[in-house]
Amino acid sequence: MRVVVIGGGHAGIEAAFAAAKMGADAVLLTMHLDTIAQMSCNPSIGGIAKGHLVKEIDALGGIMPRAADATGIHFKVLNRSKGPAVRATRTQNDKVAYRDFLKRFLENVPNLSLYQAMADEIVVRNGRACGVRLSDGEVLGADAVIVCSGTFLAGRIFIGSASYAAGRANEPPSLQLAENIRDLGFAILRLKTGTPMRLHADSINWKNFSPQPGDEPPLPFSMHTRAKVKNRVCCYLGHTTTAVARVIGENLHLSPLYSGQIRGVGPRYCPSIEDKIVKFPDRERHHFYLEPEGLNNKEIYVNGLSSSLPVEIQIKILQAIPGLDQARMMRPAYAIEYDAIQPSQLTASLESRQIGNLFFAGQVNGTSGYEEAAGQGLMAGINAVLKARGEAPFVLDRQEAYVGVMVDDIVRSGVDEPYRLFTARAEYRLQLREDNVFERLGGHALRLGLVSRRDHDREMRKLDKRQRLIKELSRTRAHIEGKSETLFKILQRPGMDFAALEALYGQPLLKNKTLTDVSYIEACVKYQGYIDIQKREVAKTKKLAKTAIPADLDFMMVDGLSSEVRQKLAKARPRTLGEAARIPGVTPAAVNAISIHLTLKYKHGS
Amino acid sequence: MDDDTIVALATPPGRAGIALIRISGSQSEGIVRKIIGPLPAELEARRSYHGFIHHQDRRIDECLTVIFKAPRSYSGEDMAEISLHSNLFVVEEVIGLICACGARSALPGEFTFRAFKNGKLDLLQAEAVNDLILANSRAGALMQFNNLEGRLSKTVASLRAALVQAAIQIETRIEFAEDQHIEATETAGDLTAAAVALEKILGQSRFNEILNQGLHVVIAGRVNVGKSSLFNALLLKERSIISALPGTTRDYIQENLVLDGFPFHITDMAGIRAGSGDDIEKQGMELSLAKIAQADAVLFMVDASLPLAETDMQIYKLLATKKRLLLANKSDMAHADIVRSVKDAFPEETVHLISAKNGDNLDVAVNFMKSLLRQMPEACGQTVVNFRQKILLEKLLKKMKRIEQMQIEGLEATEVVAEEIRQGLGLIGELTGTITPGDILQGVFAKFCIGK
Ligand SMILES: Cc1cc2nc3c(=O)[nH]c(=O)nc-3n(C[C@H](O)[C@H](O)[C@H](O)COP(=O)(O)OP(=O)(O)OC[C@H]3O[C@@H](n4cnc5c(N)ncnc54)[C@H](O)[C@@H]3O)c2cc1C
Ligand SMILES: Nc1nc2c(ncn2[C@@H]2O[C@H](COP(=O)(O)OP(=O)(O)OP(=O)(O)O)[C@@H](O)[C@H]2O)c(=O)[nH]1
Ligand SMILES: [Mg+2]
Repeated sequence: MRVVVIGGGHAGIEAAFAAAKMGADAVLLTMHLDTIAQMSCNPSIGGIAKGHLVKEIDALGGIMPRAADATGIHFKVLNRSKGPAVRATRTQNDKVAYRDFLKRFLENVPNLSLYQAMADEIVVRNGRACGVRLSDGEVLGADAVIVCSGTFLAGRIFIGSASYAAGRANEPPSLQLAENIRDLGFAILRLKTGTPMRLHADSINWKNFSPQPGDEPPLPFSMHTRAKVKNRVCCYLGHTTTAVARVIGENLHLSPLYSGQIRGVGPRYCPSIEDKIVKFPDRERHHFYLEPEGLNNKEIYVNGLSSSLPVEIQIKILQAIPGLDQARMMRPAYAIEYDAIQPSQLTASLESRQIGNLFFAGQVNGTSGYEEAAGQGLMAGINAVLKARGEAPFVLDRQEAYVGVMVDDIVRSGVDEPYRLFTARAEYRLQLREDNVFERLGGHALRLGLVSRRDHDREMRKLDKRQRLIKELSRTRAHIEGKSETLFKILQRPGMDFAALEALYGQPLLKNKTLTDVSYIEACVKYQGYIDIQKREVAKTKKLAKTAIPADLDFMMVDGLSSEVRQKLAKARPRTLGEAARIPGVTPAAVNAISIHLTLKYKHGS
Repeated sequence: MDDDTIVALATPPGRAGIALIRISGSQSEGIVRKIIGPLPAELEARRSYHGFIHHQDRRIDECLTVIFKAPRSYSGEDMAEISLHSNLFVVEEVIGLICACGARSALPGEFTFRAFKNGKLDLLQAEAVNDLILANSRAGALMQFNNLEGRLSKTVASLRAALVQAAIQIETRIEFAEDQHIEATETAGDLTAAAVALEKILGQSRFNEILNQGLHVVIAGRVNVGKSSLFNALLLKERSIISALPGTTRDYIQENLVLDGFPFHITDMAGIRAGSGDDIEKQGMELSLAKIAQADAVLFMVDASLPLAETDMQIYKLLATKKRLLLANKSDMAHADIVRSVKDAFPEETVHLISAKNGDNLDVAVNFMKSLLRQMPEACGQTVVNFRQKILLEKLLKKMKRIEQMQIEGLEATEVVAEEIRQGLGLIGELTGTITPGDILQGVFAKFCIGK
């Protein structure tokens, strides 16, 4: 069985790796082998919601977390002062090392072939993808094809009024494939994103910026990381000035975003500096970070100054910022516009609804971000193999994983701007934590052959240790405010944490504890009430989803529905209450009215 | 009101076959034991027992009884279900008997309400069940589903806005505070203001009372005119003691009556008579005056078989500002000249001749009460919510207070407060339409400058 993956970006490599591990003959096609796993933009992996995703990828046996640890040069857990559910890991990475690590890693994966080539066409027979035609005319047969072409489909770069076709700076776009995908009938979105300039480290006056050191001790992403990770660089925080706003204001007409040249939709959460100045005219300054791109070069990424203004204006902007006034620009900021498919054309396994055995993952699905791409790549890789084997797809629920939230969001609702994950997107946020990924996903990973039995059992033993301690907490008592209470109850008090509990108890409750142990325990104890409610909600939703609606039910006879809702239902003819609930405009109350109607009808036989 | 034991007919009235009477509350089993026998000393839950319903020494009907133990029952409380023959009179009598033993008749949807309160149903189920109950009994769209109007809807809209703002602030802090150095200041003020407004409406408003107790209607009149007879005729049960002795009703008695799916709270007063009688009666009369003052409307009764007295005129003066209906009772014994004198004495009123004893022309009283619903501008126009909305709003208020408290104390983790806000959004979403994470994120991006 052969799975061909188009594109060696973050999505493509996870897809190929998962497929190879599951026993497929995986071929990873990419335009340029030296830019495999290239970080197109910022030198960083993880962050809030994204870090959660990386941990999930780890539990499902993916490579991103291992690569991030191996090449990490700055480690931080964000939201430490908040609760376990929203704490998230982030690394700064040496970009070159990251690429090299992954290339070497993939070269050593059995069943996986790396092949440098340009894919021009997906060969479709009888409504199914069965191969890929390369630019030299060669056809690679395949049982499943996964498209992970990133920002390359009909990509176009803009710097000021200059614009040229490209997939990324100095890399060719993918034009034939873009045309082929349009020809296959896919609805296409035109999206855009941008990247800031890179500066020479020695030309920056660092005294003007405040250092942002990594955590001590630094914590890795992956359960596979045994070697100690180390902080090797520091990042710096700076701010723009009113002079910057003035420069931008005077030159706005030169930005392709404002002159109307770029029509693609950019992400609201990732605005360029000109967007920020225009949208928030009252703000005197905007912050930015200076982040080293690696250990062996002097390029500094200016996180916060993404722009598509002409180079000379970019330089003027820098000159208006104390500390950067002498900075030498090594690479200018630019914006890129590209084709993505509307992901609502995919099933929950990321397979095309129109063309069988054809999968899509990553930026091409209208998402943005390395982690989002990697998560989808992993799912597409697994599902391509399952499909080729004739097995049921692997779909994660919204209450199980951020991966599930993301895939469900994009395939169900489609996108109208580049989609990024936020914890706010998860209705079961308190359950989707970094500290319990293996509990959530370990079983799936083992069953699918994505992790070894040894790794699985080791992680389960850790889990067991935490759960035993939680039981212990309900049995052990201590005095607080003159009353004897269980440690469990005491830990539930607002403001109480595990460290304070141990102090109160007078001796350690857990030896050699990690942040994960502590987070897990605190979460289970403190969120208990909320999680119970959520679990009940989920159970109810599931039950509701399964309740069948008889094919002959006359919606006109259902009491308590508005005529508008009646018409919608009569038209859509949902087969279950779950399907009814998903029809836009059908309210929960309407679903309940149907449910009651069904109950009465069957109970009283009238 | 939740400590009460309540009773209602669970099957549609007038259907042939078997009627089911449901009792819910802590006294359920005790009441069953008082009126049904023979029963074993220990009743097993969910088992059916054969027996007879007695009133004093009279055997009323044969029945089957099942008891349920909290929380394993429909309402989540102790319950009893009595199946008996579906004869309206028998059923009314048995329900009256049960009430005499300490239960009261359930308000529409009250079983469901209790089930909901005890976590037996989720709100939506309760809503739907209740909708059906009300749909059957309510003629007009007096309190239409999701029809929030006037003052209330403004409050709900500001609540929604305040909660959405709170969500935007807190989600911004979670996603971006650390990374993007965004300081989202809390706007607890808006939330507080909205909560206060809601609390005021929920607390003060007529619907609260109306939904809980019904509109207050008092039957007023001189002694012995037939007030208790009318009261009983309206309630179809022998609740008040009737006698030919003037001053029989010495206190007041209240009962609930459901008309058009709407609860009424009817009070049978001690008859008023000019100076005399003992102290107890005097107290009862003072109470009568107070009750009249509180009433939403008064059924003012005179006796059509006896000449008007000075007391009748004095009572009438008390009713000047009240919605009222003049009933001339004992039409079966009425004298034409007395009726004429009544008409002359109360030129502003239409005189309705009725017979409480024989049940003649009682519809005028019933129609009068129904018409009150339409006349209550405040109750029906501005602050009306239906039962479900009220439950939702009460839950919402509780939630808002909790969120406020958490924000003030500042001890709970951010994401826990965010979860409470999300639950609040869920509740308000049920009233006004779902609020999605996309809506919140939109607010985040519009409000805060976020980006690389
Ligand atoms: C300028 C720029 C700015 C960005 N800014 C942000 C940002 O601010 N925030 C953010 O989250 N993300 C940003 N990104 C996006 C981020 O880089 C992507 O989300 C991520 O890299 C997507 O991974 P991917 O695997 O889908 O695609 P990519 O990493 O783009 O990889 C695509 C791969 O496919 C290969 N390929 C494409 N077509 C073919 C073909 N026909 N044949 C063979 N190989 C092919 C390419 O060579 C490449 O290796 C930016 C990207 C760019 C280019
Ligand atoms: N003929 C006739 N007698 C009636 C009618 N209504 C009531 N009575 C009688 O009038 C007497 C007084 O009736 P009640 O209902 O007790 O009067 P009341 O107004 O409640 O009296 P107090 O409680 O004493 O104030 C009783 O003997 C009733 O049977 C009627 O319509 N016709
Ligand atoms: Mg009386």
